[in-house]
Amino acid sequence: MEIENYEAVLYVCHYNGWTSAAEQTNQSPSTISKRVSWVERELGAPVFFRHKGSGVTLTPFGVQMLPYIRKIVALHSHVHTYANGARNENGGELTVGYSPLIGTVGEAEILSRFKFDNPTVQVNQVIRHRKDLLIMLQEGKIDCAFLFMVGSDQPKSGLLDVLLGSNICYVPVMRRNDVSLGVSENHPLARNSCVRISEFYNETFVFSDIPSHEDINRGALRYFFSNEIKQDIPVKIALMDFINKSMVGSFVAGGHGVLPTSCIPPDDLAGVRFLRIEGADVPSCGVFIYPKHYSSPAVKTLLQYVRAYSEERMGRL
Amino acid sequence: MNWCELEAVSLIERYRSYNDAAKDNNISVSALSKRVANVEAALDLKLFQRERTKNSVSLTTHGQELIPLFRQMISTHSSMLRRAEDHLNISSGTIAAGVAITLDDLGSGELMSRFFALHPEFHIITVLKSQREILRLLSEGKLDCAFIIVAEDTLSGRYWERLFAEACGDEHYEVVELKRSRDMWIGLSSKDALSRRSSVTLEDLRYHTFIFNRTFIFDHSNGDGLMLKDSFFTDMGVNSKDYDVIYEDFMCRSYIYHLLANGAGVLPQAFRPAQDFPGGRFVRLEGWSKPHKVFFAARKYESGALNVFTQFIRGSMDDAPPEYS
Repeated sequence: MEIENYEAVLYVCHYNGWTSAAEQTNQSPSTISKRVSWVERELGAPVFFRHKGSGVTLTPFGVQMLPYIRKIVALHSHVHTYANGARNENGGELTVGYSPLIGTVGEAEILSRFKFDNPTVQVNQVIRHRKDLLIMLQEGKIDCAFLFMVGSDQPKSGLLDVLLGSNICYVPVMRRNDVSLGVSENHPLARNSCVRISEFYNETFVFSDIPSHEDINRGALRYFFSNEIKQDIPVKIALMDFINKSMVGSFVAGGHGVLPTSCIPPDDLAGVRFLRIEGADVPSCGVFIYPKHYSSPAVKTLLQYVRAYSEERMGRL
Repeated sequence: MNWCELEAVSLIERYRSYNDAAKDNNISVSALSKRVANVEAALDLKLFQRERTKNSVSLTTHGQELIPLFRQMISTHSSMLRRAEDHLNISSGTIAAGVAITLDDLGSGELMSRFFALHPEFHIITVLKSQREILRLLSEGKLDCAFIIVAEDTLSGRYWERLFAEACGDEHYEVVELKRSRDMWIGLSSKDALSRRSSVTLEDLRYHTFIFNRTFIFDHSNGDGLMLKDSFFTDMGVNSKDYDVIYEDFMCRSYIYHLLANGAGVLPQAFRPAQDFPGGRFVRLEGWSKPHKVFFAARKYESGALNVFTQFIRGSMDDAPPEYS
């Protein structure tokens, strides 16, 4: 299978090494190496530097070839996605990605409406951080994704355009300016409908520990605590892995910390109450993204649900 | 799946016949059908279905959905190889240009020769093939650029416009219009009394033998259920049964001109050459008003030679943009 050889190049890049690529994809290192060599022979020059030690580096030639390889692999995945869907008459598969969030940008509701009307489509879910989702979308490993953005990284603000590139389309599904604070039910202020950040200076603020986006994360913190930073007021911060929702939920419910969120607060976190923060003005948004050039029939159907939801929640844009 | 299997699928999509595709491309029918069968087996889907008539095949809905993706894959692959060659300096000065086989004067020869005189450091490879093949090769990235003639507003025109849009309708191509004409000329032998007239009508030409370009005329339907074979007469609103027609290979210009001079037939041309041919001349056909256009289409690469060529062609058009006479 010639065309699958290109995939090996992406695996080596993605897993940053020959051995880890082989382990992660259940192939022997020699198979991976053979496949990469096939591509290098076809192109006429090495794509990777071979050095001792574990990591790998693309050659300048490899850097130039990578976008093409990525596109071929993506198109090849689309072909198989279509074929899988067409073969099983049940309506096919849909692989949706989203980031680990405690709240939601509407993805749960949109997907459940879709699944209710299309019960035979198999919906697969991939929870990864934003950068991984974008790469997976470009490589055709997922069909579409929901992204959440806080602070300056909103559509049309430059950063997102760079992230998304020109071959991805998006539909906004959520836009907010206010921030909610999740606090334990037993917190003395939990009965208030509205609170101020300053009332919680003794508490630990819980934020997502996004490994690949430290800068963006720090930016979001700065956005959230702009007054505190200006006045040198110390705040306690805990970074937690949001994929473990029950851990974060219990942490907050147990009174160990408070959870600011600028997406739609969840209603299923036991023992946690979400209160509006007075005066907080943090622009945030959620978008649904899908490839510009090809969408499987299931994605086209899902897109109708996304658009309907978007219009319902945000009015015509 | 490998590249030659995908290319076989693309070929069958264009020809809609295993026999025709095999004959025109120096490959056996069995090799072609094996390659297509491999792709169908890998996907466990049928891409083509047999038609009842004449050994032809048509696309299944799966084929309609997947073949554009195959084309994009092949095209990306060609761009990648081209980019690799450029990077490794293997053939950075080479341009592969496709020119459709036609006796119409597309202006390609003049432009290419002027470019060559200015830039002898670049090497132009010319590929002469039927327009159907040129468009396929361009869309698959086997050609860097091509000269193409498209009729508008006619039965055959719609077919070519569709292929043209499929091949180079997106942002990866640069398209320059080179010529346009609303005229139709008829090449006639000087033995024919009509050749002394300033114009002729189709009525005058009744029972003459028309010589058509074999590579422009297909028996298979163009999707609307129309045969392209008789479209010239249908477009003029006359009955094709009143006219004899022969389909010739237009590769050899002087052979066709000799046919004309001997009075073996007459030749319709949208873009007549600057000079009449020995033993005959071109006379305007009355009642024709459908536009024909000549386009130059080039893939967008970051490669040097092709960019210079495209700029040169764009530049020559800026001085004298195409107009209807």
